[in-house]
Amino acid sequence: MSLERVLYVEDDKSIQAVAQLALETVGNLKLCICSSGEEALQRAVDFAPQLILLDVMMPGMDGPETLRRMRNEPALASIPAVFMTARTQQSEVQAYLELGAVDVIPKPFDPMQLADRVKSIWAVQ
Amino acid sequence: MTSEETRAQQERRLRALEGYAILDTPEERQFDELTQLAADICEVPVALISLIDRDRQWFKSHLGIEERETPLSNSFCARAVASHTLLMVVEDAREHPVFHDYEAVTGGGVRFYAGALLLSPKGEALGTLCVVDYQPRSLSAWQGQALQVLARQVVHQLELRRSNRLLEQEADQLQGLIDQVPVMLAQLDDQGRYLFANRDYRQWGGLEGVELKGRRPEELLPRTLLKKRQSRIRRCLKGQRIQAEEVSEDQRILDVVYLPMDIPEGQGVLIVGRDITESRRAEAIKNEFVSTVSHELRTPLTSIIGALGLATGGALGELPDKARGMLELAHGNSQRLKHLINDLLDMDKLVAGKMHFDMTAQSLAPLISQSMKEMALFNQEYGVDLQWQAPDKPVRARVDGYRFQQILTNLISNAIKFSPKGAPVLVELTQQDGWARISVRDQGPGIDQKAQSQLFQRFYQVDASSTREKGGTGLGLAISRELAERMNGQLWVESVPGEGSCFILALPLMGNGSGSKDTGKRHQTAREKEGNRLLALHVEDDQDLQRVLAMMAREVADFDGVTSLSQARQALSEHYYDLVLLDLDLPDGCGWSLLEDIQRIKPAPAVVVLSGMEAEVPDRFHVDAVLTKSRMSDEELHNTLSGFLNH
Repeated sequence: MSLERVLYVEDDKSIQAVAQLALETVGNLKLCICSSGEEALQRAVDFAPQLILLDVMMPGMDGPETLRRMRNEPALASIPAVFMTARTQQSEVQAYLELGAVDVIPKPFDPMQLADRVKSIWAVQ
Repeated sequence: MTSEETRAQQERRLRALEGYAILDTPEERQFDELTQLAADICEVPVALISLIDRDRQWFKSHLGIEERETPLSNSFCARAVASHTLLMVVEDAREHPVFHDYEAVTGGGVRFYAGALLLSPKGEALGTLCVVDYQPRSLSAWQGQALQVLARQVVHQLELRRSNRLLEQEADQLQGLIDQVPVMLAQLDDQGRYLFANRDYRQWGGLEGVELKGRRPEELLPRTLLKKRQSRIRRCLKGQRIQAEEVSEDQRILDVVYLPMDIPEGQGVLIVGRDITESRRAEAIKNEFVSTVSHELRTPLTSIIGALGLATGGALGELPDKARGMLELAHGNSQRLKHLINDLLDMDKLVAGKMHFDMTAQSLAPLISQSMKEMALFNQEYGVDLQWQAPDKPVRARVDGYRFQQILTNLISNAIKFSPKGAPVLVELTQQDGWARISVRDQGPGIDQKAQSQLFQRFYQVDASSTREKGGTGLGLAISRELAERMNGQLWVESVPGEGSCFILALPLMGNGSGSKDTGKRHQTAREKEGNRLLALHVEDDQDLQRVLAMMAREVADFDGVTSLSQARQALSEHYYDLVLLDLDLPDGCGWSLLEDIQRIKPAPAVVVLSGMEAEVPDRFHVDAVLTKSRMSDEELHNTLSGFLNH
């Protein structure tokens, strides 16, 4: 089985647009794009993603809090989650991993490599 | 003698007198004793220390009369001073041609006067020590001599008094200065009692207005401040320099240094404390700022780089050539901006000492091979002949793999950028004198001597225009050198203009040979990092004994305990220890076998062997001390370990 369905949570519309092209067009992935943690929690169960890509800093519910709530939702609890963040100091990355993320993709990312990166993270899980 | 000279002389005399600051001061025993002696010797009822002021004579001591001053007119003493007569004797004033009509004689009944000049060391006459009687008498020769000797004693007392006053002024000035210094300063004697403390120290300890001298900190300071301080003072009294952070009652953070200091009684302690609360707060704000700025800069950059990457990567379909060219330009520059932000953040972390290094002993060739693959992609644009000369056998060093590759990537990308198309760039790994050497050699323009010395400075580029042309940030080499040094290595360049350059990264070898100390930056030992304490590895299968020893030596060392040789090897490969405390009888072999591994570490940790019985050290091993478990005392262990602190 290969990776097909990715839930992508990002509040910045520009980055959304770039990642959408990178993941859908370049990577042939099926995306559910959410602009907030709240929206992601509402739509995640129905979409049944295989992997969750989460921005860290978002207004309202931030990435870590969104992940924590997903972990309490039986249907989502075991889906691997990856943080995408521009805050990549060592201590920060360590903290994200301790929150239960399987990996951290630093921003800015290479859009031509993004889908491959996401797929290889998923393959390892 | 002209009248001007007299006036000038008088001014000199008055200035000299003023210098003693004696006029109008209270009576003092040491002067009164001298007048008493003078009166006794000369068998008279009155003796005076008379100082000749501008318009009065003033008595520092006045035995036998009430007055402390009288007018200058009709003054015997003033006469003696003006005429500079060393010993002036008037046996019967009523019969004397000059003094017979003086008021003291006609009204005061004075008949006999003898005055010895008070001469300052520079010869200025300040006044006299004089004796007076109300009946005529004569002065024997020895009485005259005695009076002059006593007069000299008066001057000595004046001199002493002046010296003391100057010393007091200096002490006050010094105290004032020490009070103004914006650090906490206190000095303790060999018994740990206060000798002095400045204003900041008193304020911090709530000790304003308290007499400190001779009292101990534990009598005066709040308990919270004392917690660790007492043991630090004790250790410092034994000669250890200790630096520690202490938190005061109002939650201020102090950086406190305890310095052993020689005092006349022996070994004292100087306590120097600095309030670093503000700088800590500023540091926290700066860290948050750096993190936020990097985030705020990277967020828009993410979509810019992303969009340009998609366009130039072909995700949006074929582009007209001109549009592609422009977009590639923008893409390249957005990448450069990303590197600049990353470099700035790296530099910031390095300068603040906040960069974490995950040091592991590993073979370097695979790391270099991987970097070469990555650089091959980068080289596609430049087309230099990238060559990699791997060594015949593994070369191992302790490095953080990621940071090691960061240095390599920087050196190789520089070499590629500055080489003509098709020219070779040779990367080579060799070992030499205990060092792993990674060299990156190019046939670019080369670098002259002056530029070589500046090359590793931040934001330096040999040719300023090359920043734009070559796309560098000017931070790469500065960061690379810092990274190399943090990994106990060195980075330098050898170059001749016109003949290319060779950048060399040297790292201390693991696993064979010995790194000669003069070619390597000295290792920063755990001791230097943690203040004056040892980080020790205790290899001992009896865990109870491990705990006991850790307790016994808690003042000088922190212990990591392991129970077997294999665990010890693992620990030694992961951490640097100042000292290894080694039991010989271990479950997986004899402790001696570990010595071979220990002696390969550069610089080698000190080794203390702890044996169950008397142990003979085999010739080929170096051991710093051998202690016998059954006979070892608390003190012996403590002293042995302390010995390594003072290296």
